[in-house]
Amino acid sequence: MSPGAITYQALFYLFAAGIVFSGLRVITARNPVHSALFLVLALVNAAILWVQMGAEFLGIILVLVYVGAVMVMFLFVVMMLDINAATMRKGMTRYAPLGLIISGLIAAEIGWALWGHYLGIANTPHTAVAPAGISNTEELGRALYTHYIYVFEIAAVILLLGIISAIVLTLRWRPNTRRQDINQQLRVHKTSDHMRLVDLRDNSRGRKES
Amino acid sequence: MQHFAGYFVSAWGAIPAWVQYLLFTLGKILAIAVPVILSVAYLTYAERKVIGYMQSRIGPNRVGFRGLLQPFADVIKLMMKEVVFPANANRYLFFIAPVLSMMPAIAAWVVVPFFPNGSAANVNAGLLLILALTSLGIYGIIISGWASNSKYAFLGAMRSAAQMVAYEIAMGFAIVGVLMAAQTLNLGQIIQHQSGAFWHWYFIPLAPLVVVYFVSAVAETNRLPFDVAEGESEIVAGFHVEYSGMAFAVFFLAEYANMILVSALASIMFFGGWLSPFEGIPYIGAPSAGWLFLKIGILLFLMLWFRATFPRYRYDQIMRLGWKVFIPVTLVWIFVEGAFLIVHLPPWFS
Amino acid sequence: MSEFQTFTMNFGPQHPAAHGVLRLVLEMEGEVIYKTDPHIGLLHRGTEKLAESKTFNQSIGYMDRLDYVSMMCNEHAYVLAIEKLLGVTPPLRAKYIRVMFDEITRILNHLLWLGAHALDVGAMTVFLYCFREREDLMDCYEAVSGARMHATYYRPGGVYRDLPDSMPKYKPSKWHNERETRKRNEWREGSLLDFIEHFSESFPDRVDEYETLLTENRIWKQRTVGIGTVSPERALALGFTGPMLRGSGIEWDLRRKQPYEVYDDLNFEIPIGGNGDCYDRYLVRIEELRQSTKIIRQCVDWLRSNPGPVMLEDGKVDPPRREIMKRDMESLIHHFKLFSEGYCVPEGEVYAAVEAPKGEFGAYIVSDGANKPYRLKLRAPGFVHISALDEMVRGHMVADLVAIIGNQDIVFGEVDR
Repeated sequence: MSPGAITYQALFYLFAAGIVFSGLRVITARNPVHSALFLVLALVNAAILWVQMGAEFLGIILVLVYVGAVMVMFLFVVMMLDINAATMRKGMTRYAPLGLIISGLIAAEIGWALWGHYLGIANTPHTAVAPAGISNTEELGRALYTHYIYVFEIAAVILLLGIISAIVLTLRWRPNTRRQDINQQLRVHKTSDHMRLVDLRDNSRGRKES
Repeated sequence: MQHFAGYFVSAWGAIPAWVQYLLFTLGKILAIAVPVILSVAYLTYAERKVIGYMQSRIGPNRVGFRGLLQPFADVIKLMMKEVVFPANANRYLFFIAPVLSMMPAIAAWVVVPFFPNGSAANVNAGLLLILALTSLGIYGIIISGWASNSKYAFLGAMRSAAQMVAYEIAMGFAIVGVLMAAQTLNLGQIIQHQSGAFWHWYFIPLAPLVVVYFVSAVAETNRLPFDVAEGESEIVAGFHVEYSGMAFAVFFLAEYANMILVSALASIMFFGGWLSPFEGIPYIGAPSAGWLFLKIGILLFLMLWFRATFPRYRYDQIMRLGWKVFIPVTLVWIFVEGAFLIVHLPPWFS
Repeated sequence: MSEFQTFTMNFGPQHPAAHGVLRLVLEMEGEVIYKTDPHIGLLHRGTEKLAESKTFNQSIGYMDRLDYVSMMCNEHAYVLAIEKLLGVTPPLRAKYIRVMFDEITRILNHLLWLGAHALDVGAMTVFLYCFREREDLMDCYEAVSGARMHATYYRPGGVYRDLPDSMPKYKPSKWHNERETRKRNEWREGSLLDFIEHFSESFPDRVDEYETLLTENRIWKQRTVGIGTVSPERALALGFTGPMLRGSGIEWDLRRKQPYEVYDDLNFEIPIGGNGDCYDRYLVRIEELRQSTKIIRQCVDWLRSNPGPVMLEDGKVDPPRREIMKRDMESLIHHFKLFSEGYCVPEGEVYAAVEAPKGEFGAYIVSDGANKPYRLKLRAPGFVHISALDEMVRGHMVADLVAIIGNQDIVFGEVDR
């Protein structure tokens, strides 16, 4: 193998190990904030792997959307909630069987999918490589806005619905808060309504001219 | 001398190719990072001088000729100081937060082209890469706010996170405008699409987006009038209230590195990057890195000018501006730009 | 739905917007404040108690240190109270000097208020512009009393000495060469009155400069209009005075309603606000800057054409002039008695108040006929204003709290006394 390929492989295993390690830390860390931060680390590692495989657009978008926006909000919620680890672990024994069944199911599904894939790997056609000169950003855009346009638009509308409903559900009108209307604020100028000059001299006392 | 150079060349040839590649890449990184850090140092000096003269005082003038060594004096002072870890602070996160905020501010420079084909890495999705990297900068702020175990720091982190997420959207839409105009995410190609004298640059057809982008950039870097995350008079210093010494300095440097970065981006996307405004005229019409630096300098000056002029917005007013003003403005202008594209409006979209 | 918790935050006393040593315990829900609990007394120095063990004149210097940005106005109230007890009136020239320096003090105070308020709201440059002008006025203090802040200039029966004929000048230094120094000394060639005249001519333009930066600024309006609104009824009920009261639209100014010294002879107008929010109070104070300049101008003109004594020639109250004391036995005795025992005042109680820049500053003296007050009570406007802080802030955000504190113009020297 050439040195370039060795480096490539080494980097792949490095970041893959990074994903596995931080994934494990997500579920084992005692502090929920640490868990969330390890999830961020896992996502960053995954993004690097994608970029390494040539899917630079997907990798960058993963960082931009999940790391830069979603996890920020997530981290926030975790920081604000002040989760007590002790109470979280209370029902451990009661829920353990259910958890084991679910995780077993997931593991089986993943294993089945991977096994099937690896078994048939020889006769799967190699993924089409984008022709030179067209970046995979452009390729993806083309696919999303032509072939998958309806799916894409429906997904967008559903997300919008999610945003609006989340806002509606959590919006609280707090009666004690003093609000200002910005347009009204800006309508205020230095007029006599806001500052007028009066002499205020008591005329009855006889005004001396000077 | 000749002998020495020859010796050097033969030594270079003797080392393996991948080490050569590694050394070359490291050299490129240093060639970008060191000037960036130096210009950050002198940006702090420029800020103090510019604002000083605006406020009828002179600014630093004691260390070195006209105070030119002041940044180094500051750095030395800050390095001498102790980094105090507050009680009950999360030591590890507390320490790593400044690094997290500094790292993306410098890493993003890797795709910035200084002259034709003059970037360290010619990435196709360069614009997106910068967006992604700058969006990582927020972690430094959130983590420092949480790890400091202080209510002021936490309030600052909350404000800043909400603000950055909101303005990233407006900024992203402004960038979509550029993307539509240039049909590429590669920064070098974006500049090439603007070639011609200054009326070919995108700041004319994308005027509202320029304003939105630049104001959002000021907000993203937590500069006045959007500096509620630091909010000197409200929450003392916001997220970095518990930091001292070099740890504080790194936050400080990250803020200024980000300022330079967003100015560089604005000059590349809207003001033609390395292109000369007088293209066609001999000598001064030649594209060069000098034009880029000049444009960055003007935008940085604007940022300093804002700081000297404006009062600070309130947190909710910033959010209103971001969500209710900037995002609709960009959305509308993207449609207008779509119309421009369809009619092939010269000279930009022909 | 789970309930929302409020959290408590300690604001100050080490806080850049605490204007000294204000400590607030805030009950907040997110950024919105639901309760403000001011904890005062961190700057308590026992001025009132100290005054009980000192002769009347020895306490004048303490008055400067109460509201340490409107020094001479505090002295004025105290000195007026003593004069009322003694039943003496100072010479007319002294009255004019006092009025002039009261107004200089008002400008000094309002400049600091404007600068600090703007800085609290984030406008940094206004602060430095204000301090540029404050520097000139401090020089007036220095020229007349020798001290730049704590002047101890007013005395029962007049003022310490007449206005000087020359101003202190800058000297060339490593940083300012000969030519620059000459420019800086341009106003200082003549007497103090010339200097003040120069100042009063250029100052209105400077006020325009501040207004350019703030009055029509969108951000400034967003931060001040409708913030900390106090209705006229509440303003009266809370005991507001000064610009805080006038900002709410109540026509009240002691300089007009209970004229003291020579205010009745001077032409000036009182700015009255409308809404009682931070913006109107800001407009009122800005206009007061202009009106004070007008008063100073009139005083300068009068003082120029009317030389005369500035202190009573009554040896029982005021010390004799130095040169007379050296030859005259009676004057020497007066001097000795005044500077050791002081003077005794008749029994009784008086209250005298002046329109200090922050509001009504009053001194209430109970005398048992001794050479020192039996009890001295000071009415500080800031104390009243800060007790209304909770009502003004409730429901606003943290950033507004800072704007309101800045707008109230609080100085802890007088609140804590």
